[in-house]
Amino acid sequence: MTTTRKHIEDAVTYTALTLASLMAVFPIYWMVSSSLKLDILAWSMPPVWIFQPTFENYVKAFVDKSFDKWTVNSIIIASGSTVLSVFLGSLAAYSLTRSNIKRADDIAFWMLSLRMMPPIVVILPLYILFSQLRLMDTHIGIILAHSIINVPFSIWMLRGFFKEIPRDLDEAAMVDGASSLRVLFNVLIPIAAPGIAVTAIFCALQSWNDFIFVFALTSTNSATVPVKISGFLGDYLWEWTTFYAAGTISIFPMLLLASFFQKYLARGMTLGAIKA
Amino acid sequence: MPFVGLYNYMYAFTGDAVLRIAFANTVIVVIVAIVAEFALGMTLAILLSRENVRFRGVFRTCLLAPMLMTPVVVGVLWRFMFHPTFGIVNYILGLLGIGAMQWLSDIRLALGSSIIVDVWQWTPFMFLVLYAGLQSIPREPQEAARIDGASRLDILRYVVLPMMRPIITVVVIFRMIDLFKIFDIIYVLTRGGPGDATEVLTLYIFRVGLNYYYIGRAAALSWIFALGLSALAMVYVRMMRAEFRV
Repeated sequence: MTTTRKHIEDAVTYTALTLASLMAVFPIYWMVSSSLKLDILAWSMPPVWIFQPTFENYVKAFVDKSFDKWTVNSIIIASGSTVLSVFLGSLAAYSLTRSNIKRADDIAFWMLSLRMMPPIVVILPLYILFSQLRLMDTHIGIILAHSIINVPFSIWMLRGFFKEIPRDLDEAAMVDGASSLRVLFNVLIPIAAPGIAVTAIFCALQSWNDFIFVFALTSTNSATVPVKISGFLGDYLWEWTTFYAAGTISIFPMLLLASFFQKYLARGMTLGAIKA
Repeated sequence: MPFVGLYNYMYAFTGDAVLRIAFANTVIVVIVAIVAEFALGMTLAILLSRENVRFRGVFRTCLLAPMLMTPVVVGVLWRFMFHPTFGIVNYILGLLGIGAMQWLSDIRLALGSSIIVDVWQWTPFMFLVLYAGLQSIPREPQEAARIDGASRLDILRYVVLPMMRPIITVVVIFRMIDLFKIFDIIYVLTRGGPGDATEVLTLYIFRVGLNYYYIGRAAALSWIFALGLSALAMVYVRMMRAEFRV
């Protein structure tokens, strides 16, 4: 290959990658930087690029719009549903991979198909059920609703990770007198720790991002960040900066989680997609 | 609630005009978004996996960022950015000499704008999986084809793409199922409007059931929707099993 051609190709590559990266990052930059602007600067066009940052909008989001409460709700619900799903998921995955259940693969596929079900299909019956059981607008109710999606997902993921662990290991532990629950908690789970981390992150992410379940099944007591953010419609210009602050708050926990577990994340995502 | 037999199902198939619009819109969203996300994701994955690309980590982190945002936040953010007078999108287009557009209130543009937002958020997913796929396929067949004098387009078409077929199948169907369920982004961007311009299936069922309280009709629609999607999922499972023999 001639060097000029290589230079042209390099130029094209870097230009395309830079443009795409800018387009991917710009809206996020726009949100974060606008959250540090005074009202009047945030919607002035042409935009002001250099300004004196202020944290007033965050105060407004927390004090006037009680985003502290919604954030706490989101955290309670996401962690509750994650713990429940990973716990039930590891039990189910254990029995699906280690005991002689007939048609275990079919059961696993059937469970995965529950995840493909559109939430709207379960929301109507849940709505009626929750009104009768007084689970409307409670944390427990939403935790259970999210687990409908998260449990099948955990089973599916953990089944993949447990399958990778050679059976000799748990047989050795059995010979030494360990019960099957002990094998699960003292042998399999420690070995599959990275897999469990990935599964937990995705469950948390799913629950954190969910809008439709919380929107249909709560009013104020257990409302979460996304539902409250959907209330900002942009009709009132003076609310824009409060939204920018609230939106920035909403990406923080997941950004932290993702940066801690970046290696696992890429692996887990592709694993979930590529490995059957 | 009186017993009405199969009336709700018959109404869905024969009388429900909005349902037909919602179905057509959903199909448009699914097809256009998947084609766009695949084309962009694949191009970026191929460019980033070229030899000797510098700042690879930086590019990858930037390209993945949109995926980490909550869909509702993405929707509201773009709603503000699409604002005809105070939105940044029209301002930037103005710099390029393109006039201001009514992104979300023009009937001809609203569906396209919603697709743009979905493409912005989910191309990263496509890119991530395809990039991982490109890394995992063996290099030797590509080398062999190159030595035999194949052009790079030929290598891509006859060597790389066939090897990546299982991954492509899976990622496309993942996106397809998610796109059929699209709700959050469209709900905050347009609420299905203007008129019925961005009405999609989930949004419509939600409205029929929980806003107008036609629980029976909404339940019938849910059933039809669930069965349709299960059929799709079944095709997916078949393909997976054929590809991987699990």
